[in-house]
Amino acid sequence: MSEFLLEVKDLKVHYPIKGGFFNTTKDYVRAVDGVSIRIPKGKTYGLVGESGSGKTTTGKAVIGLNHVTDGEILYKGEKLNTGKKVDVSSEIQMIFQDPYSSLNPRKRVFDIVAEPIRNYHRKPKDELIEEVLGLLNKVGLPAGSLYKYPHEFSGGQRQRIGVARAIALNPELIIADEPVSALDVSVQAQVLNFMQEIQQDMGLTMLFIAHDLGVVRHMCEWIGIMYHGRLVEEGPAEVIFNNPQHIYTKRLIAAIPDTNVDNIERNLQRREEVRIEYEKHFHEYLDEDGKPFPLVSISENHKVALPPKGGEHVNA
Amino acid sequence: MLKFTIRRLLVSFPQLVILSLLIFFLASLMPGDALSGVIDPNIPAEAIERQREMLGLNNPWHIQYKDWVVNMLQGDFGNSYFKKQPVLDVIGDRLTNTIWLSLFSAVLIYLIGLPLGLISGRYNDTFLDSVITGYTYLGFATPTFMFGLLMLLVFGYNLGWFPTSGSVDANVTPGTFEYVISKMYHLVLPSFSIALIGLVGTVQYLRSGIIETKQKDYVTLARAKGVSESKVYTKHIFRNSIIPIAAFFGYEITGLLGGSIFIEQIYAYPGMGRLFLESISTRDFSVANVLILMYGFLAIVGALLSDIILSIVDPRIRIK
Amino acid sequence: MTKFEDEKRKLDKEDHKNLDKEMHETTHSTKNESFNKDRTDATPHDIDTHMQASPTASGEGHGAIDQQSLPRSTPGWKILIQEVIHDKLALFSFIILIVITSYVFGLTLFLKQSEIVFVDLFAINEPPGDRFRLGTDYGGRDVFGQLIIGTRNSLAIGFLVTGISVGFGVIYGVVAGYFGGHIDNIMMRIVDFFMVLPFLMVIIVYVTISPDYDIYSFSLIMSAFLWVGTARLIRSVAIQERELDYINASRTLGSSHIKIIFTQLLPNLVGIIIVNATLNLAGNIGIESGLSFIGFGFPEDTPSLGTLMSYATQTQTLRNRPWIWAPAAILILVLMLCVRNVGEAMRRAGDARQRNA
Repeated sequence: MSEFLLEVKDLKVHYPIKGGFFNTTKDYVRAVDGVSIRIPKGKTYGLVGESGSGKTTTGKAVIGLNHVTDGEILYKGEKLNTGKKVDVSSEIQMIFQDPYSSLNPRKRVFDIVAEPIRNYHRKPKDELIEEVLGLLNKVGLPAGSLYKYPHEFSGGQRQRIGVARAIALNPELIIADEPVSALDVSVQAQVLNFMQEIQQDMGLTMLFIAHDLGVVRHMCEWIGIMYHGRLVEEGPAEVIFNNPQHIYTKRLIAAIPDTNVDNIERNLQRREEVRIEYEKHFHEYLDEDGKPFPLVSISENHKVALPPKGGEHVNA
Repeated sequence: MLKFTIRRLLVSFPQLVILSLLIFFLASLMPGDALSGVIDPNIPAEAIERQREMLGLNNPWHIQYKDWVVNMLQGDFGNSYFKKQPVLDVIGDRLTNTIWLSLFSAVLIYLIGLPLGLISGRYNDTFLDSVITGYTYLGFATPTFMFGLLMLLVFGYNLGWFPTSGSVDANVTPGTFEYVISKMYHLVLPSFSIALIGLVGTVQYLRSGIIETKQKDYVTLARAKGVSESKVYTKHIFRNSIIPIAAFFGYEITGLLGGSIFIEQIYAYPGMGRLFLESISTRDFSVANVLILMYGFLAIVGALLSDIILSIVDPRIRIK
Repeated sequence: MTKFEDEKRKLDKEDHKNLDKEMHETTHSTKNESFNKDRTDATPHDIDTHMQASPTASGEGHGAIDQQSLPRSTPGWKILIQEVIHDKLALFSFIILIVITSYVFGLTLFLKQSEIVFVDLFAINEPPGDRFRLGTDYGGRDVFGQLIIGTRNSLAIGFLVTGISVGFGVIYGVVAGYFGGHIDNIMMRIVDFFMVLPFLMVIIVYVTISPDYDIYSFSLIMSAFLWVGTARLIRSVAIQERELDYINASRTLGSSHIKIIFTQLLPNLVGIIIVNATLNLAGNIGIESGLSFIGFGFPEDTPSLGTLMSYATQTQTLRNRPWIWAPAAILILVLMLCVRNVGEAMRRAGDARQRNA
């Protein structure tokens, strides 16, 4: 068994574009085009990128909601995408982006949270109720929520229900697909904090998908940044934040808001500098298809998608 | 556009094949074959057998099917068992009568239904709207045959304003002006019976379409830009609400072309529907089969027409 | 084609419309909902619960909770019924329906069908009087008795056909919509084919060539053509629903496809199914009475409302003996109006509920 709980090797998810007279496949949308990720046990890996960069597709491919065109997904060294049904749903779980559509509106909280338990264990009803109450308590929902419907809760509370459902089977790996992006900013921090608590309590490994570097910084030990279906930079969080090498990463970091009023001038200036550099040189970081280049290691655990040659002048 | 049409046509083709297969088998389930009407009980069995062999009635089914289709493509739809003449001759002007009835009804449906729908959509929740909505409620609940009977009783018998049966007076000569007038006169009651009930779907659909469109942002924008209220309706709302109605045109025509069996029956109107019932009750299945085939064919054409119209008015369909 | 295709199309059109509306409203409601919820109760609650969770989140405590005393919310279908009860017209229609149904089903326990259809040549075409409450028809048969039995037969076949066709259509549509792709493609081509069949004529042919058909085989043959509307409607709703994450969530939680379809997806379609079934019920009663009217429904010894109406095809009966056909006509009208009223009210209730949910 390897030291990594989850290894994704050169993952590709392509969708055919149908067209023409006989509705044949004309081309492919390369939603994910060669992504490799390794997550050590017990750590949180943040996958960041703009919408359409393929980060959610990656997450869904890992859990088996998307088909995999090519590449390998290894969980505890075991290949998941063999085509055969490998049931890992008790060990890998997902928290969905939209707390509204991810909870069945016709089900009571009890039924929602109990669904995974019922799928794997036969239990008498009152034991089940006990267990669900325990889970609700864990995510900070009052016991009175048990027989309520999802629409009676706020977005943040719904996301807690989603978390309760995801941890019901004591999973080892959780894929959190932008769990707070649909929530009010005021609620985001609370949900993030409590997710972090649960992660530490239960020793969870997490693939945390987000479009907001600020959120990721708060949560993750490792960060990978995606652009157009490929990673452009990957490394430990502090390395990414302190020493970004790719122009895209730099721009993302420059865009993080700062609450310190004294820094306004400085931030604005920096943002402007990065913007100019970005507009001038961004195309040099992309190959002829508009995709990032393959990653190259520039230090022990820091990889960047630099152009094959002549990258020096941009780094200067 | 052309590509869509051709592709849509290709879809219709297998439908036609399956339809013909189905009717072929339905026909083989029906009692009687091409010889049943002809055979004289005095003819010896061997002669009949020879005759059957000659006509290919003993061939395996796929050969019989092939012959049947080939014959139809050459315009030979077989003979009526009962009337002992070619089926096409039996159908003859029944087809034109039905087409006339359907066209009349369609015109009435759109002529009355569209304004009613537009009014009740534009002035929704007014008194006028509740009257129209009440009418559609009643219309949905009334079977056409019942309404037809009522019209026949009131306007045909009690008031005596319109003829109660047939498609034309017996004593007018074809081709004359009187002939045309007489035909129209005979069409009034049947077509109104169909249209007054048939239009409720159009009215309700149009009404809810308009009410929905009214709240769209682009309508608010048009108003905000100072477009006059009547222009907002004619240029922005009606145009968009009528699209689905237009798309249903093909189905509508198909349904009507079927020439409401019930109405033709009630008014003794010599159309295809009545012919179908007549041939069923005289067990003249060769005619009945061809009629089913014709109706099926018309339905396929109607669906085709609707899809093509829809692809013209709504470009999103074409991508699919 | 003709009237019944018409009827079918009317229903389809409506279904389309409902669907559009439904979809429209769903998108709207989600927006409003999120907005309102987050506005009104999100902040206080969230802070509350979080506070509650962090200090003593040890996981005990809940053992002491009395499970029976936990608050329970009203399930959706109860709200639906409440809404219908609040709609006076619908409630009135519903009561009439119940009264008629229980009256005819109750009374037919005491009436003998063979007695009623007994031909009495000495009492032909009698107007209503002491001996025959609603008079007699051309065979001297009691119209009142025929009316009662006819209503029962019409209702029975309406329920039967609706049950079979909606049941099959729902399963067919939900399977096609849930799985999508090639399965959906093939299944929908079959539906397309059924759509263009001149189904009335096929039924008429069947009735003619089938030596012994009864209420069950007749219902089956009718259902064989009437399921397609429901299937199309349910499929299009299922496609919308399948895209929602709760279906994905169920899959990641280890639920099987069958389980997801029946325990997750279908409960969300119940409202649409009920409305569709109700409107279909009205349509089916109409179709059956029409078929009986032209003489291709039930045989004369099992009268339906359409059979009574069919006596009116004789000019003399139509003009001079309204007691034979008018009560049947009124009953058909009342039944169809009432059923549709209830259906429409439920549809409105469904829409409204989605709006405020």
